[in-house]
Amino acid sequence: MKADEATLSRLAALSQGGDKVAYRQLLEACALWLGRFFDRRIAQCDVDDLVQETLISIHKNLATYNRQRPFLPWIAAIARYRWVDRLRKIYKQNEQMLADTDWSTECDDAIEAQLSIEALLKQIPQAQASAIHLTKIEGLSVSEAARMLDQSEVLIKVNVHRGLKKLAAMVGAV
Amino acid sequence: MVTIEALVDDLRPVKPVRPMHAGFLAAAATIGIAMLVSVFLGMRSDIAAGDPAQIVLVRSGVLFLLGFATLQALALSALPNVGVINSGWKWLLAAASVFPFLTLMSWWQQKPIFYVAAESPSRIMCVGMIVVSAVTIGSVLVFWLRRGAPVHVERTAWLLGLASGALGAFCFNLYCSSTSVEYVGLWYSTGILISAVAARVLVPPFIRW
Repeated sequence: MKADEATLSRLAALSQGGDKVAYRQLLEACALWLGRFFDRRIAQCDVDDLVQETLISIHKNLATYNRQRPFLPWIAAIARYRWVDRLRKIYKQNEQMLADTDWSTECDDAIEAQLSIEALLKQIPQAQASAIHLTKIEGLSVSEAARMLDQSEVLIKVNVHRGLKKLAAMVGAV
Repeated sequence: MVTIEALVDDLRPVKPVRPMHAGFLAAAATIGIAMLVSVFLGMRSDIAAGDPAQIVLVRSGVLFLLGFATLQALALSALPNVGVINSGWKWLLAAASVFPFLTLMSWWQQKPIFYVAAESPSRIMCVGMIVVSAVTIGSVLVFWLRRGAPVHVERTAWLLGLASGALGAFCFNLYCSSTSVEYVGLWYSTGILISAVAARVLVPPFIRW
């Protein structure tokens, strides 16, 4: 269900009164909206978890919705809060992992792979390396990468395609 | 999705959180403290006579309005929202900063009145009373805020410290015998500043969700 602002506001007001049918519709619409909201903001594997966490926050804080105000800014504020909280947790977890690693003896596979990728990217033209880095490693969309590199979307796609082809050839030659 | 079923089953009717309740609670706490100050310390004689000195009127007005404006911003910040701009409290804070500014000028010009205010024997009591009153009002507000869901936790904590500090200073001002701008600029500002910093440091864990 893709609901409009007026419908969502009405469902939220009914939910505050304890209407379970309205609440189910509201949560289903919220889940869809949140899925789209988080889609470009966090790794795909984390989207479902974050949607569920945010639905639980909506449930706990249903009383904070003000019926005189629109619903979408309310859910957007909660979603943003949960998203930032998740990023903070990931950052702290990574920091802890870095602190716990014995660098004199260990070299994590992921880091080794990352270093290998960086080394390979240095061997292809800069434009292709940048396009691959932004879209395939940083996870940006083609349009976001195009804006960042000041190139057209078509050129980004071409650079990614050609770059990956060269990388595949290099890896195959090893 | 499993969560949705569980959440629907768990749904109970809720009373919407109303920002004006924060105002009622803070007003009740402020009036209670003001009454305690009047009973145990005594109200200024000019206020009791209904003819307060001009400086008392000015500082009371500034402190009350600063407390009111920050309290309003605090109450609104308890409800998640985007795009709601509430910057009135910043203008009030700027207006209130005229007291420390004039005090700074006094110090710069080495006016004797600055040193009288700086060495006033009641300064510890002034700062202490403001902070104790602020802690009382702030605790009531934290209790209320825990029903809400502030999305800017640090800013909300600052606002809580400023609001409770300003209202605490307002209560003390009813008793305070000083009529000097420098005294307000130095010691009232210190009390409010301590309240704000303490709230910023101590409150976030209680209101994070």
